[in-house]
Amino acid sequence: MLIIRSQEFTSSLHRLHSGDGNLFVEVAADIRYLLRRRRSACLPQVRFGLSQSRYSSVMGEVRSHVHGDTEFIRTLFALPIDESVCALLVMGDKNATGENDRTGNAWYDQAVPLADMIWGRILDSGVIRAQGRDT
Amino acid sequence: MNSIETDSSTDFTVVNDVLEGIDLSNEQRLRIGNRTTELLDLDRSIVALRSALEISQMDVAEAMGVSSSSVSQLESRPLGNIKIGTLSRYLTSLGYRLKLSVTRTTDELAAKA
Repeated sequence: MLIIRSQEFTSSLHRLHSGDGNLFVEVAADIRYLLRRRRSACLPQVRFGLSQSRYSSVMGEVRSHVHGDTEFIRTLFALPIDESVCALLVMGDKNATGENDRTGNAWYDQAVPLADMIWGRILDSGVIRAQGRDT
Repeated sequence: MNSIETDSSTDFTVVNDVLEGIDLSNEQRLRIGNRTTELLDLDRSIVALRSALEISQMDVAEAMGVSSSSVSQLESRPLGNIKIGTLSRYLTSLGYRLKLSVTRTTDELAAKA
């Protein structure tokens, strides 16, 4: 399976690595779990079918949290049915958008369109076809 | 970094590993490896089934007539350490039925021959 990291995701990963060690370990393990189980990955770590996305059938999220921590990290990814590629697109703390946003919806309002845009660029780039793994 | 392809005109990179380019300590590598193994083991457990069904521990506790903490303790045990009756009641609360199968070992050996 082709693994693609967006610049957005990679920057967030580096920031996380330089911060809370426990949270970084959890996020890294959760994503490794996704990459091992692919479309068979399941809740509570992985959820498929982000309804807000233009690509809802391939778009999902990795849900990472350390007990007692205030941060709830979400990693939006695209993983098509044929499991030819997993693109890690956007990562962030869904609770970081402010006290008035208790559900974290405001974070998704920003993150999902961004994830859609990056996934669209990946599809347009032909990089998946170039690897012989056209979806 | 060991990228196999980088496209500077776009904003993504093909990598061999999700943590490529991250400077990990031996302790971090070990902890990530252990936690990943734990997650891979857990997703074959009854917790994964309950989570996939989006049923809360509280709902299961109510259906089983026990406390939420009892359900939590139950879910943390390996499947082999749970009494059959308890496992059966747990699965019933999720809308499933436990089925046991018994086969004589001599029959299995004969089938393989």
